[in-house]
Amino acid sequence: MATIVDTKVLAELIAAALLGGIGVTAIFGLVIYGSTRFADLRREGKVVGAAFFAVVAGLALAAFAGGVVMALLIMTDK
Amino acid sequence: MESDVILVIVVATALAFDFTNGFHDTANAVATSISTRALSPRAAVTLAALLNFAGAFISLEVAATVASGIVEANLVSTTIVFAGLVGAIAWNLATWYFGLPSSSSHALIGGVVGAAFAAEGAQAVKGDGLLEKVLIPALIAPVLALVVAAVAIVLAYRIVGRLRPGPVSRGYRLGQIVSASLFSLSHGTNDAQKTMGIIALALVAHGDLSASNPDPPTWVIVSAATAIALGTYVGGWRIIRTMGSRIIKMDPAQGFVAQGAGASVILAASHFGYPLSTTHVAAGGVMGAGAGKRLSAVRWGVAGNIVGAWVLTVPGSASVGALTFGITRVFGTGALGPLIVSISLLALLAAAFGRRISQGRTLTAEA
Repeated sequence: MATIVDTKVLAELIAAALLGGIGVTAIFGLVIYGSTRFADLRREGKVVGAAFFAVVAGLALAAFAGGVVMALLIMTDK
Repeated sequence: MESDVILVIVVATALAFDFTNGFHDTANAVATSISTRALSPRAAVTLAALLNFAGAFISLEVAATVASGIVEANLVSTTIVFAGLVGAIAWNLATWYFGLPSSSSHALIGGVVGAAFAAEGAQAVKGDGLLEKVLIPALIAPVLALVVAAVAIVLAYRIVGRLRPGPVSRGYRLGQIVSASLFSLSHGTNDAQKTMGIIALALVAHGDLSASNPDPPTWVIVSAATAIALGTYVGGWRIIRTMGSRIIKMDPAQGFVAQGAGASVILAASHFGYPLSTTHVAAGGVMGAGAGKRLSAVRWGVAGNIVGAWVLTVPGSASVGALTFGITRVFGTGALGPLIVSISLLALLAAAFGRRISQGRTLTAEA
């Protein structure tokens, strides 16, 4: 089987899919978590806490956008 | 002259297959978005059609794989390609009739393999190529999508589980527009190229392309992109219902995770040049997003019907491909056989569509 199947490539495929799928979900979860907490804390007048979660949401959103760009690069870079 | 007629029939049949491919696989990209109301049905199919069209121009790697990796290109005639396409179209229409999301890629590969086997025997089929580039990735892809989605949904619920549901749902619906777009684009990069590959195979058999370098010409790329986009826009609504609401009852987080996991698997596979089934990946992602929440959230009866259709796809389409090749041979080796089969197929199609529309109900088994 190992002579027919390139196990190294298959392992890379599995690793890339796992990393991409779970990573994107976690990052987008942080976008939602950060933005929701930001809105809640700002409404309560807690400026410092709100600012912290705004930064968390912003960084996660930037990472999510980076993931989308990477996906587009994967599609075009063949 | 006669071989030119056969080539025209083959190209037209290939584009018809491409249309059914888009029509059949619309559900993969849009079912979860429609189910969670992230997008309206019309907006979803329009977006998917446009991105499928764009995706078809992005890469040619998979097209080369289909043309040269599955059957011996120098043994394949245009009649074999035609018979294979008929097998694939027949399987696509049969599964659409029952509202089952099955793989158009497997149907295409099965049809060509069956026709080639009937014509030339086992020597025409590259067993190693079939195993390495099609069967093993196709076994891995749905399982991988299921595992990725199951882990991801657990993680997503951990992160957002204690937040107010309103903003969470709105956030994931927005995310689904991005993930659906990526899924559609990556679908175009994979599936339109399979038709390009099959037309390239016919052009090789006709002597218009070199067997050692079967890259599809521009007119093939444009016509394949257009056919899959049109098919996607028309939409296979019965399969969309099965994928979107019959496997699991989906919330926006599950919809996002199913699509995100699916897009990741497809992009990774596309990067490594595997012609994998987007349908298997999409369905695996949906099942994983349900099973990660609760195993009983998945309607396993519906999932079982779908997996049954997957198992039967290659032998089913191969049988029709082989049978079609046999029928064409009854009328000799010229254009008459493909012409008669084409006309018969069109008549059957018209009858099936008319009957389906008049019935207006899905035959998909409920769990």
